[in-house]
This record gives sequence, C-alpha cells and structure tokens, in this order.
Amino acid sequence: MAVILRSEDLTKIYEGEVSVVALNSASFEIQEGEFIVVLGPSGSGKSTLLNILGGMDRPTSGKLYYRDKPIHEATARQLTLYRRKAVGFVFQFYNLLPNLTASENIRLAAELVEKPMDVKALLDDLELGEKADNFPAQLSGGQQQRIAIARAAVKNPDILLCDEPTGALDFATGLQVLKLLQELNKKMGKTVMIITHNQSMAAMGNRVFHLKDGRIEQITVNEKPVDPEEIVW
Amino acid sequence: MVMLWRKLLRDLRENWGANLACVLVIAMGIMAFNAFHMAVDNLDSARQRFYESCRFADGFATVKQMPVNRLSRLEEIPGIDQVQGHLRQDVTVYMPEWGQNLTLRLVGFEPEDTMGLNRVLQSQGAGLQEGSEEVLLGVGFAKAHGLKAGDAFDIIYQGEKHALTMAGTGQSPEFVYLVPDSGAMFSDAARFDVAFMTREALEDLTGQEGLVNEIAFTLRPGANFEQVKNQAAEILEPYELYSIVSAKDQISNFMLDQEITGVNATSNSIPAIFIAIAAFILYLMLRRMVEQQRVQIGTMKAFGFGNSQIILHYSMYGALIGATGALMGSIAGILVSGAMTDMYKLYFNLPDLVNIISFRYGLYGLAFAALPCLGAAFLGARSVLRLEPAQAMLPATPKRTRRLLIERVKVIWEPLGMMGRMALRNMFRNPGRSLFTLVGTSMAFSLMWFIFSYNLMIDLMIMNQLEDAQRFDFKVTLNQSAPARELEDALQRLEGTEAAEPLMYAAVTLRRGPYSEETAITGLPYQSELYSILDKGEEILPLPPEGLVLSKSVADKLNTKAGQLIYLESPYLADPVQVYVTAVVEQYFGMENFMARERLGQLLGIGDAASAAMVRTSGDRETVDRLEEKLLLAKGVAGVENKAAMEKMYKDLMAPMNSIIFAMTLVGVFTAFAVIYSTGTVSLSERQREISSSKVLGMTDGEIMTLLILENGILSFLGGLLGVPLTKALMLTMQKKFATELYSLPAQLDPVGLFYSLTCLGVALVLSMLAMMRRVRSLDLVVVLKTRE
Repeated sequence: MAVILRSEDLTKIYEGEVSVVALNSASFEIQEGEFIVVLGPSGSGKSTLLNILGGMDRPTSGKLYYRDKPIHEATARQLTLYRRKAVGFVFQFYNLLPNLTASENIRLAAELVEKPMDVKALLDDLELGEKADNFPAQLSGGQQQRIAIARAAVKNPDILLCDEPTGALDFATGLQVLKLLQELNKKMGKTVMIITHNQSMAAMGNRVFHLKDGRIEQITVNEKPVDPEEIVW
Repeated sequence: MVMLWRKLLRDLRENWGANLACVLVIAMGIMAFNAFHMAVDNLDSARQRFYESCRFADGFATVKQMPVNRLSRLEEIPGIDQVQGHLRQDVTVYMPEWGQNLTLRLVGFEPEDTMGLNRVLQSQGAGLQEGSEEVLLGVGFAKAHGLKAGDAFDIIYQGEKHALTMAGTGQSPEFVYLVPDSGAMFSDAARFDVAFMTREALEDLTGQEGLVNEIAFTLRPGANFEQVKNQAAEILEPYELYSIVSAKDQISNFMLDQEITGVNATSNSIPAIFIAIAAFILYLMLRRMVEQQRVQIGTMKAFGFGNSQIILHYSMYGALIGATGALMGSIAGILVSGAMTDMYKLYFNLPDLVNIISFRYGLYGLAFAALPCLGAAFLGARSVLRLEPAQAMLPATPKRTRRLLIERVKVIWEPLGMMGRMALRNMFRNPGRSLFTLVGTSMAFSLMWFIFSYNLMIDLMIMNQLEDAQRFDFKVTLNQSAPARELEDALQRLEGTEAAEPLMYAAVTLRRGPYSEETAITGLPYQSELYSILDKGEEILPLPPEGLVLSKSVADKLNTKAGQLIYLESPYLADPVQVYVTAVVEQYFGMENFMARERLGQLLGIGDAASAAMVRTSGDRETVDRLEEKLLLAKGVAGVENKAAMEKMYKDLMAPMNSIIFAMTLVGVFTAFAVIYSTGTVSLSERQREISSSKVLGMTDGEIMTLLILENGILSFLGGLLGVPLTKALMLTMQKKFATELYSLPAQLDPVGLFYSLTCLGVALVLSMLAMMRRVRSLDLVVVLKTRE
C-alpha cells in the first residue's frame, strides 16, 4: 500500500498575546485506505491537525506531503486544488448550506470536480432519495450528517477528514454515520480520518493517534478493527 | 456553477424587502438616466433637422423699422452671406371668453421663397393666397382654441377689429420657443403664439409697406458673429436698433439650448445620487451577509472553492440587483421619455419631435447601475478573501465595545434609561452605518422640503404680486402717452369703472460712474390705491414722494444702493439729470423701477403724463365685460390686460406641477424608507441573537420595537436637522443656477413645507418600522439561538 500522507515535525503555533503551540512536531505516515481515529481531549490539537492535513490551515513549521507533493509549501491556489480534488470534509455541525436542498448541497460539491460520483445513486445508497429536495432545516441531525458525508464523498476524494462527525448526534444516529464512513473506507477504499474525544470509537480504526497538549503521544494499532455496531458509548 | 447561482437566487429571495428597496432606488435613477437622455436627444435631433431643413440663420437683429431696400447694405459687410428681413407685429386676439390676454405675433414671409432663411414649414392646410388675410397659425394656438383650416377669428390692431382666416398651421425655426417680449416663465401657446402671413397681407394690415423690423442673416464660412456685429450695428443704428444677437443668443434657440444643456447636466448627476445610495446599501448588506455566512464560506473553501469563485458569487449579488434595477428603470425610462417628449411638444414648436427609443441608453444604464453595485458588493464582501477556511469555522471574535464619551456626562446619560442607553450604544456600535442613515434621511428630507417650498416660491414670485399687490382688474396700455389727468377723467366716466389710476412707463438709461443700464421706470401714482410695490415678494414698500426705487438687479448692475445719486438719460432730455436712489427693491419676477408719476413727469419735462392706466371695476359681470370691450376698441388703446385671466393663466400653468410635486414627494418618502429599512434590516440581522435572547428573557416585541424606533427615530430626526442647512444650500444653488434677467428664484424655505417634510419623513420611518416589526415578530427564537454564529 502506498503512503498517501506523510508528515515531518508538523508544528502549529498560534501567535497572539500568548503564543499557543497547538501542534507540536507531529510526524507520521498514513497509508492509502487506512481508517485512522484521532483521539484526545479538547484543546489537544486534534482539529489543528485535521485542518492542516486538509489544507485548511498551514503549519508554522514542518513538512506535509500528499503522495510526495509538498503541501506545506503549496500556494493558495494549489491548496484550493488540493482541497478540491484530494480531500473531503465532514464537520461536527454538518455545515450544509441552508439555502440549498439536500441534493443541491451534494451537487454543489460535485460541480467542483471533473468526474464526480452519481448524485442520485449516492442519495439512494444512503436511503435519502426521498429527502433529496428537503432543505437542511427540514432534516434531522443524522440525515443532515449523512448528506454532509455524501457531499464530501461525491467529489471522489482520496481522503475523508471528519471532525467529530457524531459529536452532535445521539447514539443510534451516530452509529448510522459511523457505518457509512466505514463502508466508504471498506468498499470504496477511501482513506478516512475521524477526530473524536470519544474513547470507544478508537476500536474502529486501523490505527489510533493519541493526542495530548499538541503532541502525538502514542500511535496504537488495532489488528482487528471492530464494526461500529460493536461499539458502545 | 449552477448550485452557486441557485444559492445566490435564494439569498436574494431571503432578503427580498431590502433588495426590493435597493432595486427600486436604482430603477428610479436609471429611469431618470434613460428618460432624460432620450428626451433631450429627441429634442436636439428634432431641432437639428428643423434648423437644417428650414435654414436657421446665424444672426438676428431687431429695429423699429427699416426700408427693405436698405438691407442690401448689410450684404456688403465681409463675412455676411445672405440677408433677409421681415415684418413682425404683435396683435391682440379678440376672444372674449379668454379675457383679452391672447396675443399673436404676426410674421410676414414669402411663401414662394424656397431659399429664404428661417423658412416657414406649413404643417397643415392649404397654401396662402397672395394678399388675402389668411394666416398659418402656430400649431399650439390652433390646437388650444380648436381652430381648423378655414376658420376665421378676430384680431385687434390699433383699436380696430380685423378678421383673419386660418389657412393651415405653420412652424419656423425662429419661433420654436416663444415668450412675449414682456416676459413669462413658460411659453404658453394658447395665449401667445405666432401666425405667418404673406408679406403683402401683413404690410396691408399694418400699413407698413416696404418696411421690415426683423432682420436675419447668415455668415460666410469661416466668419464669426462678433466680427460682423459692430459693422452691422452701425448700419442698423439709424433705424433704432433694439438688439442684434447671434443664433446662440436668439431667444428661442437660447431657451432650447438651456433646456438641452440643463437636462444633459442632470441626466447623469441625478441618477448618480440614486446609484450611490443603492451602492452603499448593498455594501452594508454584503458586509453583513459575509459575516453571517462565515461558516458557509469556510465550508465552501474547505471543499475547494477558490477565492475568485466565492468573491464572484457575492459580487454577483450586487450586480444582479443593479441589473434588475437598471432593467426596470430602462423600461420605465422609455415610458417617461415619451411623456417628457410629449411635454416638450407643448413648449417647443418643433415639427417631427417624436420619441425615439434608443436602446443604447439601456445598455449604458445597465453598466451605470450594475458596475457600481458589483463594485460595492465586492467591497462589502472582500473580507472573504482574507478568511482562512480553518478560521472561518470558528466563531468571529466579538467586536470590542467601548464606552461612549457621552456616558461620562452623567446628567445626560443617567436619565436616558436602559432603552435609551442601548439605542445610543447601538448607534455608535456601527458609526458608518449610522452616518449613512443620517445622510440618506437628510437628503430625502431636503428633497421633500425643497419640493414643498415650491408653492411658497410661486407665491413670492407671482401670486402675491397678482393677488395682493395688484388691486386693479384691467391694465390699459396706450399707443402714445397722454396727460394723466385727462386719462383718469376719461376712464372714470366709463360705466363700470370704480377707480382709475394712470401710470407712466418711461424708457431710460441709468448711469453711475462706469456702469450703465438700459431699463424702464414705472411712474406710479403717489399713495396708489391700486398698486403696491412688493419687496422680496411679500413686504409692502411704500413709494417715496421723491427719488427712485431701484430694482435690486438694476442696482447691482449699477453698483449702487439707497442714498446714492445716479444719472438718468432719456430721449425726452437733452442732458442727463441726477436722481436719488431712495430705496432698492428685491423682485423675483421681472425687474421694475419705480418713481412717483408726477415727479417722473417733472424730471423728464413732460408734465404729468401717462402711458397706461390701472382700472378697478364695479358692477355686474355684463357691465364689466362691456367696459372691457369698450376699452379694447377705444382709439389710442394698444392693449388691455385682464388680471383675473392672468391669474387663471398662471394657475393653469402651475397645475401640472402638482403631479410633479406629488411624484417627487413619493421619491423622497421612498428614498428615506429604503435607507431606514435597509440599514435597519442589516442591523437587525446582526443583532438577531441579541434580540432573540432578549425575547427569551421576557422582553416583548413592543419593547424591542421601541428600541429600534428610538434608534432610527433619533437618526432620522438628526437627519432632518442636518437637512435644514442642506435644503438651504440646495435652494441657493438652484437660485444661482436658474437666475435670469427676467426672474430669480426666492431662496426661501416654506415653514409649512417643513411640517410636511417632517411628516413625510415620519411616514417613511413608520413604514420602515412596520416592515421591521414583521421581521421581529417572525424571528424563530429556537433556530436563531441554536445556530452557531
């Protein structure tokens, strides 16, 4: 398996009245098709890591390669293209555009790439076909998050980065979302990275990054990742 | 990017109220842009076509009279090409139902002369028969009186009735715009128009065979008017030259030019004001919108939308509003240009003056509106460029709130109460926006007060004069002056005369040092019962027994003031005499100088003479009508002016102004509404969370509205205050711009108008608050408070 993301000493310092080291010398490699869970308490640097990996933010120092392309020195234009083609984001609060219907939200992303997935098929797969014309406000949280995942997937990106995707959902709906992510990982070979502070989700990942105070304290490997249904929280 | 367009359209729909206000403001501007440009183009091109086809001359001179065979002397002047003379005579039209204020300017011409200057274009009817008393009537006069070819009507020339027959209608480039020599604010073809007769017929009627009093000439290529003017004047001087002017200053062409340049000047500046207001509203809206859609923008960026795509998306918001407004404005502009062209047809006697729709202005207007709106939206939204996607996902750092200076002034701050304090703080929280509301409302207010002062202006200029100062019913003008005593007695003896007071009009030249002015003095009876001199259109200025009361514009030209001695020259006097200026009177319409009649006669050495008289009547309608007819047909009477008819004429002329006043008031109210409402909605959306929290805490909708009304009310009130000097400045600018020899606009603001405009501003405030009330009521607390900001 090929390395899809490689980082060397990734560091992010927020300058202000007090400098905050949000990410401190993170070095790792991620293989294509891996399911990674990033675990850590609030303020541990999870979101900073995700934002840098997704090209949403730049490291203060250190290196990041996407398939050997240096992302840390990419221009703004190159970063935009990286986000457009390589990455799909899923947010805790879904961030669907309230003015667009479910299917329009997905199509908005689809329009960005040359070979998107079929929107209708995707909606049907998610069993959300009949909600296609609903606006986000007319959908439940779980439905919204599934649409948000579809929106991220429709571009057919290599990597799906998910920031607390179940953070705003109850257990049952959270489970649906996790199953969906696992399916994308297993059936379609997408590299998935999930951020969470929920320990029990760690069992799902091939590997788990444990973050604390901006450092990757430990990377554990699950020989046998479990199905979301076996998780309890 | 179909989906982004869809989002754009839905964003537009969500804000429809403020957007519509913006669109309508733009539409008003672009309507004016299209209408003014097209109407003026119509006027200008019709003028050019007419001037070319009928050979408008390059120079014009008026003399008392001159033998036609002497004209050839002018042709000898190098630079002058073709010379032509004609006879012209103003006569009264006898139509008792119109009072006696109808005048026709009879102009002689050669129907067969196809190479002549200022040729008459016959627009209706058959040709004129040689030597017959047939006329080609001005189109406007014929239309106003329902006259058709073959109809006859009477005129009075030197106390005698003559019947003229209308053969058709005619137009000449010399008389496109027509006002009587005595002056008027507007042309009014129903009461003063031109009629063309064959040269022979007019010579027969007036007994001026072989004579001309109007001369027109063309210049050779390369020659200019100033070069030939003096030589021509020298030749014409012995025939009592009244005036010699170039085509540029020829009265009809001058008025036409004034209209064209005047409208051209405003056809860009007025729309620019509207577009600027709309652009600022858009700027505020977009600034707020990108703040509100911060997370959406971040999400889009996270998905790989580039900065250019996103900024274009928001800029198109402005461009679409601009384009919609431009489209609506252009369509309305086509209609209005039609109406304006129709109105021009009433004032300007031009053949084939038609409304030509020019889509060019639609396109210009589109650019004129859409580009600034696009720019404003771009500026409003440009913060999205700086926004890093990761940062966009976090709530915006709250703005720092500072204490206001006024908070330190406890005497003011303490009694304000919580509502007042919150309102004040909000006003200062976004000073740019508050300033905009302030400026916007003050502009709307000024427009309204200015418009509402129009009636006072007309009162001061004309109506006070007619209604208060002139207490007579008829003014009789004589062909030659006569002893005042005899005239008074003769008039007193007539049945229906209650009082009669003779007047003396004397043409004089006044001099002081290097300054001189040719003008006239009105000799009024000392302590006249029938006439008062009005200063500034309202204050009565008693006529002093001695000395001269000078019109302010004459006094300014002579650089003199009350108490100074000036020289007076007159054809009656061998040598100039000295006379004291005892007072200076400011007149808005016309410029008359006054003196006690007896004293004027003494000064000129002609005794107590009179050239006109004022007559007040008594008795029933029939007696008065009989008296009027008797006066009109009396030997030696040149004309009779009926004051009631004059009053009616002015009132008729002013009537269409009421609809213009109404329309402008609507524009003012709407502009104020658009400004208050759109800034209000922006501020409301900014404070949704704060307002919702207040509602949850138990504040009623009413209390929240009180807060908003307080804020906007204070701003509107301050806007009104600021509008007072602004209106005054507007008045003074207009006064400067429109002052002519004949009239100047009084720069007086009507206090009643102040009341009206404050009321209208209040109406705009109430309307916008009602519209906002709807928004406050419909705030979904749960949604607002649940949404992450």
